[in-house]
Amino acid sequence: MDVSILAINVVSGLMWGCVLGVAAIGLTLLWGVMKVVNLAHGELLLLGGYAIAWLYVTYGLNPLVGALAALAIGVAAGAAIYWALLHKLVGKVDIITLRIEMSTLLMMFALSIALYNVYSHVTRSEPRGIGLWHVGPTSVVKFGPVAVQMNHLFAAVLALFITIAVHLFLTRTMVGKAIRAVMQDSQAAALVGIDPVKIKMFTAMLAIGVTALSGFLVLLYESSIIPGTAYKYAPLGFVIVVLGGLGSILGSFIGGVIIGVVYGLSKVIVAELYSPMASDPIALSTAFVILVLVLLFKPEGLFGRR
Amino acid sequence: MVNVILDLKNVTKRFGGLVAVDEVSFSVRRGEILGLIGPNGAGKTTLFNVITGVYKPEGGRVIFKGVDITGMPAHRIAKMGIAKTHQIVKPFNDMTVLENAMIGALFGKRSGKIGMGEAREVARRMVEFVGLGEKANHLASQLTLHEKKLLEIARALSAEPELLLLDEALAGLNPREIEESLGLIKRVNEEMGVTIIMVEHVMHAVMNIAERIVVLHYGRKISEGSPEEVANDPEVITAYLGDPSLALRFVRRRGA
Repeated sequence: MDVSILAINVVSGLMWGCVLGVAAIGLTLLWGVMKVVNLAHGELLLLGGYAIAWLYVTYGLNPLVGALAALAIGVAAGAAIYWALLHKLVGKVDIITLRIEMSTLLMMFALSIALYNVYSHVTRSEPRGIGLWHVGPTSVVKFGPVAVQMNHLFAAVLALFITIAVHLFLTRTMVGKAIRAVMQDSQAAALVGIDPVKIKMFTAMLAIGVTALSGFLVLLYESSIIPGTAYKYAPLGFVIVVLGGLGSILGSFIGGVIIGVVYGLSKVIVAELYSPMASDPIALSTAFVILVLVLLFKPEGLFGRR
Repeated sequence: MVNVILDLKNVTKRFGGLVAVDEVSFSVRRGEILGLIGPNGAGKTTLFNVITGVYKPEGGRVIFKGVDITGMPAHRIAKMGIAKTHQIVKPFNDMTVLENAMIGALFGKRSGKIGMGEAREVARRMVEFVGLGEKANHLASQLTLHEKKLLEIARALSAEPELLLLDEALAGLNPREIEESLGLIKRVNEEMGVTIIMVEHVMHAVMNIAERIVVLHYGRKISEGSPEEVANDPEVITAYLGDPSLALRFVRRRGA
C-alpha cells in the first residue's frame, strides 16, 4: 500500500473529524442540558450553510462575514424554536426525562421534515455552495507528500477554535456555569437561584447558533450542499454525541476526530482490499459500528456520566 | 414584639386525592433554630418544597420577611434569601467544590451585583467555614456522603441566605459526623445569624439543638412548642406509637 495515500486519508479524516466534532456540539448541548433530542440537527446545520451560500451568491458577501450572519441567524432561530416548539415540553422542572426525550424527538422530527421540504422547494434540490471561493491566496497547501485543501485546513482550525470558545464560555462565564448546573440538576439549580427556563432558552440559542455556524464548516468541506446533506451529518452527529458522552463539549470534539480518522482509515482499507467504488459508503457505515459498540460496552461514552 | 421571618398561614398541598400538607400554620422567628419533625410521610419535605417554590400550594399563604411569596418560582425565592439543602444530596457532580459554592454566590442574594472574583472569595470563605477547605479543588463526585452534605451547606451559605432549610442534614451520618454537623449548624446560626428550619429524624440531635419544635402528622400540625413541651404532648406520643419505643424514650429523657 502506498504510504502517502494512507497519510492523505488519515489527515483528511482528521480534518473532517474536527468539523464533525464541532457540528455535534449543538446536539450534545441540547440533549445534555434539556433532554431535547434534536432530529432537525442536520437541517439546522444546513440553515447556516444555505444562508452563507445565498448571501455570497446574491450579494457577494464574503463567506467569512456570512459565517457571522449564520451564527446570528442560528441564535435567533434558537430563541424562536425554544419558545415556539420546546418551551411547553421542557419548561417545567418536574417532568420525567424519558417523556421529554420522546416528545422533543417527535417535535424536532416534525421540524426536520418541514425544513427539508422548504429547502427542497426553494433550491429545487439543486446544489448550493460558495463555488471556488477559498480562504487565503492558494486553494491547496502541500505538507511533503500530503496536499491539503486550504478550505479544509481552515475549517479544521476554526473547528478547534470554536470548540475552545464554547468550552471557555461554559466554564468561565456566569451563564455558562448556570448551563452546566441546569444540565446536572435543574431542580437543585433553581433552588440556588438559577432560572431554569431562561437558561434553557440560552442553551437553545447557543446550541443552535453553534450548529448554524458549523454549517459554514460543512460548506467549506463539501463545497456545495443539497437538502440530503442533512442526512449525512445528523446521523454522524448522533454517533459522536453517544461516543463522546452526553453534554460533553470535549467529548464531542474528540468523538468527531475519532470518527473522522476511523472513516479515513476504513476508506483506505476498503479501497485496497475490496473496491475503491465501495470505499466511501462502507467507511461511513463503520461509524455506526462504533455506535453499536459504544452502546453495548460503554453506554456513558468517553467523557460522559450516567 | 417577636420578629417573624417566615409566616405560614393555612398552607395546603394536595397530590391528587392525597393531602400531603393540610392547613398548616406556624411562624418562624428571626434568629432561631426550629425543628420540624414527624413520622415518615408527615409532609415535612413537601412543606419545604412549598416554602422554596418547588411546589405551588393549593391553599394558604407563605409570607417571607413580610412579602407574600406563595407560588413564586423557586429561583426568585432563592434570590430573596431562602436556601435549602437536600435530603438526597444534589451537588453539581461535574464541578469542583469551589465551583459549586460559586454557583451559590453568583445566583444568590447578590446575583447580578457580584463579580466572578468576589463570588470566588465568598465561595472560598464558605467552603472553609464548613471544613472543606482542603478539598476545594476536588470534583464534588469524589466526596464522601458527609462531605457532600457539607458542600450543600457551603453552597447554600454562599448565596448569603437569611433562612436556611436543612432537609435531613444528618441522615446517613455516623455519630462522630453527626456531632460535627451539629456544631456546624450551631455556628451557622450563631456566627452568621442565619435562621434555620431543620427537618430531622435523628431525634436526640434535633431535640438538643432546636429552640422550638413543630410536629407534623399526616400533613397536619399536631404540636408546637419547646422540645420538652412537644416530647410530653400526648398527641405527639400517640403519633409516634407506630414506633412506641421512640415515644417512650422521649418521655423518659424529658421527664427525668
